[in-house]
Amino acid sequence: MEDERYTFSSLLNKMMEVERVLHDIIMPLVKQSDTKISKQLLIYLDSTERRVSDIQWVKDFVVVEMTLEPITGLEIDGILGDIRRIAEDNNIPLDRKLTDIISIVARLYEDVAEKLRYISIEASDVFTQFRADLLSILHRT
Amino acid sequence: MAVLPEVKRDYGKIPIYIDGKFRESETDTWVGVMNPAKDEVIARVPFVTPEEVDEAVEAAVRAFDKWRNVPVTTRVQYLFRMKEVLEKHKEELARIITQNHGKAIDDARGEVRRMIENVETAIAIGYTLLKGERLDQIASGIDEYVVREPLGAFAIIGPFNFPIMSPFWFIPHAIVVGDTVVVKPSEITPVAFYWLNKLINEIRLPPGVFNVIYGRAEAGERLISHRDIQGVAFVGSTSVAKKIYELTGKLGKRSLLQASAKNYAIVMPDANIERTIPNLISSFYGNTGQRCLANAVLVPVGDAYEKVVPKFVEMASKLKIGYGLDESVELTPLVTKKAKERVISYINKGVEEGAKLLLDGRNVKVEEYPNGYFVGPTVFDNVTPDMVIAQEEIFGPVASIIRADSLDEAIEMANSTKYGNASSIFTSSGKVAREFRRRIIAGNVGINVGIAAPMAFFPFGGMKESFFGVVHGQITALEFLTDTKVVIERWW
Repeated sequence: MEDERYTFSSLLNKMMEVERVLHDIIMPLVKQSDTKISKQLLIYLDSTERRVSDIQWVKDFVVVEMTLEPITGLEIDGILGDIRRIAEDNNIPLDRKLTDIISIVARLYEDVAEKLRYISIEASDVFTQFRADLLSILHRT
Repeated sequence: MAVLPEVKRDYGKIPIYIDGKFRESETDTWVGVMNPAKDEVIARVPFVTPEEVDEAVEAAVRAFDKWRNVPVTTRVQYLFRMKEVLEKHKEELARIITQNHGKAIDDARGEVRRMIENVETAIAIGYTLLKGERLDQIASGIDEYVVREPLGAFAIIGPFNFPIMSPFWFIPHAIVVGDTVVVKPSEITPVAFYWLNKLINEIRLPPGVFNVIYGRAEAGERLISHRDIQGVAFVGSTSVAKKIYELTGKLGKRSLLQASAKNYAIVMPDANIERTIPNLISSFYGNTGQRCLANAVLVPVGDAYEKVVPKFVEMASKLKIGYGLDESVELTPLVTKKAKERVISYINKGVEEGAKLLLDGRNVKVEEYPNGYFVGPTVFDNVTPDMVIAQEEIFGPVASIIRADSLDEAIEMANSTKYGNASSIFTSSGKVAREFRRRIIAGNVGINVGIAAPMAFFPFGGMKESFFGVVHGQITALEFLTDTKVVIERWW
């Protein structure tokens, strides 16, 4: 399989797409239950468009020579596949599904933040913040 | 990935701009301006008549007397307006640069950002550096001070590879100090400058402060030779820079000429390879190698070769090639068909000279853009410092690898070219980096940075045949565009 490769802009485009895909995968799950984690995730999903707009903002704002350095080593499509599999697995209890998905997405944000750190600290910080917001759901529940 | 929309498919006949008015040139010579990814005409540019060159200079000269008397605070306000309008239209400017020049959209966005930073720097100059100096009581009851004064009309001649940024190393600075300008942008990539011209027209500078003509060498020579042009700022090739230097010398005019390059990147065995490789890739292949700051020769020192070269070649081989308006594209076409032929002839020359092709970009095919001027990433190994491909500026996506046994040998090789624009070293050792910084003959030095691009608030360096003149562009253009008057004053 061909490695995923991104430019700065194409990675941020991908992450905007990821936000919307995650919304579509997770929303049906949180609507199935009334637990604390579901409620918290619902709030998180309601701000999907704000996160997309944060990514778009940093994409427009950051212009540096390093934006054409190839970004490799992220397997975002594979991660989305894993999340889909978890969401569709009827053998996993719902709350467990949600905590697993939160952990995977938080790790993705961390990896993206790490990759971007050498290109743009502002862009990296966006994903560090997303990760913190997401993990705080786990801490609160 | 989707291709971003073009601002327009066809920009028609590009007008000249003299005395605050757009108009069609009366020339009989109109040349098609190309989109290099598609090999299609997107505009027509005039090669202006000699009379139009003279008219532009006369307008600039007429405007100067009034403009120099406009308070600096007001001149600065025009630049604030300029910044505002450029920020508002930055994305369309970037897309037009890509459409006409071919470079990747992220590169084009970078160019627009750097251009705007020059406006910001010029604003800062207006409020600070333009003030001059003063010392009271240099003798009993006598004060001495320096006043910076504008000189008049300047000619600014831009390159094809940074069609709007490079002229802006001088334009906002000239405006803020009270000079006026006649700009001759590249005739190969004039569309973005035309668009920029339309935006500048919106800020309503007084007529004649900013004038734009288009043409080739004849127009440039006429412009430079005009008796009322005080000086010439130029960015382009060394061969043209030398001619301008000679001409301005004869005419007793100022010149500031940024020219060609052959930049070496030295990689030491202790370099952080994971960070170094993508940075090298961006340096060698960004803007398809058509940057005066692009590295062109890779010099791995000692066992750095084994660590760097295989990974560099692998990453280069995977570069996505295509139209720069696709945000996932990394390598874009060369600017003209002729440039493509020129780069291929250098690759052929390298093969003839006995260098080993590790990656050959000559026959690259881009399915969606079969007529584009593409050359794929190319890597030569076993290059020796005396080869043409190690010495001459190729200005294309071609990396030449020369092995060195020591830092001394690497520096000696880098210093052996006639150019001195930029050079980079990749190392984890501060001692080695310092040694390199002190001994390398290059005006822009990168330490773990592959594109040593000075920000607008620093001068843009250049040594040996990469630069002709005394002061450099960007912030130090202030020195070029003004003269100092020293006043020694006593009142009885």
